[in-house]
Amino acid sequence: MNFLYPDMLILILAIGVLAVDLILPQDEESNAPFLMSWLGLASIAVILITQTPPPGDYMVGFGTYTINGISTIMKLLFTLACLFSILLSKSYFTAGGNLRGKMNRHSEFMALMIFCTFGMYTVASAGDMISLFVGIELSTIPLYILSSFYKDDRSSTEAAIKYIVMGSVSTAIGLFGFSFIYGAVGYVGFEDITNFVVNNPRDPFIWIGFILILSSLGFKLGLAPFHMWAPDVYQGAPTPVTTFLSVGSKSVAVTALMLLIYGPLSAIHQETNTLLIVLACLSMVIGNLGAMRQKELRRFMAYSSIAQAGYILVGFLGKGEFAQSSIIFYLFVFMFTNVCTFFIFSIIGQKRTESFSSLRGLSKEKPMLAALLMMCMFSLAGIPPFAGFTGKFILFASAAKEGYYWMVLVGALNSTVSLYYYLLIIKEAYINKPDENQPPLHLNTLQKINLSILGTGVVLIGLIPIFYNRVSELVNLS
Amino acid sequence: MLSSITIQDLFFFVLSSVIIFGAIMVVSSKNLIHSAINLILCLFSTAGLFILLNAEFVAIAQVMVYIGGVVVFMLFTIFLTTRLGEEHLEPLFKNKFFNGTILVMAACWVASFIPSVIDPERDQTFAQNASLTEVGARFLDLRESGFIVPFEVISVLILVAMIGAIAIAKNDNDPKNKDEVSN
Amino acid sequence: MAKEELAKNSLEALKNADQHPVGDVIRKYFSENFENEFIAHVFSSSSNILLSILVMTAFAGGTASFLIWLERKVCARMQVRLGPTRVGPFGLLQSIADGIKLVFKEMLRPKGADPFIFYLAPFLPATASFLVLAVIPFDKNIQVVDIDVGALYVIAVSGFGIFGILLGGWASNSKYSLLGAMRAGAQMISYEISVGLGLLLIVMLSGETSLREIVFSQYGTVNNWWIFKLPIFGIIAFILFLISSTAELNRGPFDLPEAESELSAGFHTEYSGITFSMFFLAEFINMFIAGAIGTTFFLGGFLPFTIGIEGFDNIMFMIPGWAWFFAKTYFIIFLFMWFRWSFPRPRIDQLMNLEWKFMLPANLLNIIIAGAFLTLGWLL
Repeated sequence: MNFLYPDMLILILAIGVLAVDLILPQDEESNAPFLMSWLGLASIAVILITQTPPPGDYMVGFGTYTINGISTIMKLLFTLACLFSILLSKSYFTAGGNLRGKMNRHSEFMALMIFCTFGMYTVASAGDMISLFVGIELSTIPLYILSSFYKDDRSSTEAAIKYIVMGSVSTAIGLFGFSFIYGAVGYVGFEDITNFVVNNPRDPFIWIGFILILSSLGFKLGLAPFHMWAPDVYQGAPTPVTTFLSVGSKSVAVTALMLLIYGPLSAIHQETNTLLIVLACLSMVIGNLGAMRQKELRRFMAYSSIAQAGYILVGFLGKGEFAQSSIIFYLFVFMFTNVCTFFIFSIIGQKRTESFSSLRGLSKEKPMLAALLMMCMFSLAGIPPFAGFTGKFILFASAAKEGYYWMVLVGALNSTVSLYYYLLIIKEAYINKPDENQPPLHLNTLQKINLSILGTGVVLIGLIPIFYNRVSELVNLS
Repeated sequence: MLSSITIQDLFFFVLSSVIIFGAIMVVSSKNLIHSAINLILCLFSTAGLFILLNAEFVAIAQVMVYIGGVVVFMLFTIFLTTRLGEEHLEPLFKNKFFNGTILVMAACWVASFIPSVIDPERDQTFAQNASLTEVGARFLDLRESGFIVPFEVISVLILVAMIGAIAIAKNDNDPKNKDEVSN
Repeated sequence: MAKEELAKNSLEALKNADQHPVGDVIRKYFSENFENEFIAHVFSSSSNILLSILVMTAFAGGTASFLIWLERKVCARMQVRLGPTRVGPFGLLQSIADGIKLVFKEMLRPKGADPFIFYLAPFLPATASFLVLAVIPFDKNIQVVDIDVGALYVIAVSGFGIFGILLGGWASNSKYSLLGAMRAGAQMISYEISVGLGLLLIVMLSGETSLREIVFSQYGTVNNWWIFKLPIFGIIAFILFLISSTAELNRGPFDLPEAESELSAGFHTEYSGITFSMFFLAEFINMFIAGAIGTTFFLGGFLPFTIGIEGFDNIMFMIPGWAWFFAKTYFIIFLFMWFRWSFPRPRIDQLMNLEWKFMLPANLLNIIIAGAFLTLGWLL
């Protein structure tokens, strides 16, 4: 039962954050919701770090709600993503904290974020298709709402509308796929589906269902043929939401895909790889080519994350625990690097427009910030001392283990191409002449502390083996 | 031939043709209100299909949620949007040849599965008929066969949607309207 | 003698009463006279369906015209007038005369109205009302069909009536109609929730969703009717149900959608002749249905008024169930009419506030309290 504490606490926390706004006197400057959310999330993260679930799938007595090593480590990832996004959002609720204006209703904002994290928890612990689907929905619908939180900003509204329309279509397609699988099997539990797939690996309904689900999850993951929403939504949504979206939504889709491919559909894993290869190649190429032409920082990050989704998909070609732990480890790396990058962008966005030209002369003005930005970019590109390299190396290793050497080659080539545009950002920060008219940047203590934690993560996760060992230990438990 | 067709089969063919007809009318109609009416037709026939399958609860839920809720909401949206119902809309799909090709290809791909699906030796599982009491008991069942987690998570989902709707709809710039939702 | 009589009136005897006497006769006739089973089945079920539809249509028409007469009479008496007196005894044939007049009137269609929707709309509310009539148990053996999910069916199908009003108001191409339709739609959707919660409360307490079974769950003395069986809160639930169904029926004092002083006649401003009378018909059948649902859920349906004293109860059981049913239903209908002619009309925002800020929380609270009562076994 005590393995259920994080799930219960996060739900209580979300309701508490909403309630605290009702109880306290109406004060716009009140810090209580913010303090409560980040302290609560941090303590949940601590609980998750210290927990080691018993080996095997542990059912806690609520239907098929499963606690195992993978669900625990994924919950930690979701919690950290939510925690850092909330810490990032602090400046958005203070006047002058952002160029696009001040956001209102911060207790609702934080509660929605925490509810969204609870949805992700449900996905990680899902033991049947209904929980999986409802969890995916609960982790998506708050994001639709959150991306329209700048009500007066046309681009924010545009982002929300685009996201909700395309997201609903993708949800409908995914649900159609789930219903095909249910129609073939007659049960929704993963165990029954596993048995059915082992006996009937060529069943057409399973295949139609899988392809439809893959399209739906591909949308959430930002894979190439389904990536159209990403640049506009990343651009229009408030930065904390974009951060959470880029890390959380992606991880949740990866979790769902992992649950299906390494769970019920593991009998046809070899055959599904063909589809995954096509999607991975397309995503890497389109993401990298698209990112080269961008001048806006967040649009650029959108294309970069499309390419990253492609790399993650390469990991799915591998088999067993090694592939799963490599994917999860890469998600951690991606989370730290991406959140750190968005933190830097949000600091720039406080006074300037979030475009490449705003970065000019950063190395003179804030040398530490520029160095951190360089670290993040190198990590995303996969340059050796940083976490990104280790993550990508293990990902490609899991594909190579199954003999997909040419996929590794494609991945490595794409990484080299991506180095070009990541270097463009570093060039803006280090080489281009500073623009005299730009207003000066300012960091407060909260941002400094966060940036140092994230920066340490970006460097150390790849270098110290303890992180990877812990991930693979937990994955091996289940 | 006649004796091999039961009355259920007859109803199935009638209802599914109505569904297909309604669905085509929904997407091809140039007036949004007419689309909405055809959608009602389509959803109502789907409810009929559920009744044929002895799933009365699903049929009633279909009528209650989709027809009584979603389509009414759609009509409200159309009414509140200026002249959207009267304007004749341009068809969405400009490149008919390209889209048609893709559609035909997808249809062929799905059709290629038909022989293996109607294979009589295929092991088939039939869902059992369940009364409303059983459905309700299953929802709140704590055992492995129960669906209490999705059931409760859906309630959280609805709560979230309501909070979000209020947070978006509330006007927070004008201090006068701060605590009043305009009807 | 008395013992036999009681056994005749026991719960089992009532439950096992011949459910489909007429239908069985028809089925038997066709299966004896046709060799082919399939054709016999088709003929017998279609003639059964046709018969039910005919009876229900005739019943609905009769009830509606009677209710119109009653409404005019009650209104007149409350205003110290006489009401219709000329046509037939007590003016009873007045509404039939009015009906004949309406049928022969010209149907006018405003310029720019959408013809298909304009002529479709009046029939939707009437259809919805007919559909609900199908599940109402008028007596232990008078019910068109007893479905397992009856209570949900009532909630689902009565929501269908909104379409006629919304579409009719829109298709009329008139600002009064559109405003009236929007008001009616908003009001009906809002109050539907309260009505639904009121019905679900009884579903929760009785553990049944079939309307016939809900009636049987109130078997016993008058204390077993749900309005009394749930101490105090049953009466509160009944009052909440009455208020919200008055609003859902768009009847006065909540007749905002057709407020004469503001909107001329609301959504049916542009309708005339038979199209108008269809709206009118639906309105009055809906009133009957609201009364019937209230009777079934709260007042023991077709069960007689018994107090546990044997002799008295036997006399009560002699009165047939349908008589009890209609007596209770017309009592509720009389309450509706009483409300209409004695309360002033609120503003639209007051109406919405009443639902969302008072009725809905009160209903939810009532359900929670009733749940507690049920678990603690405090039902009478």
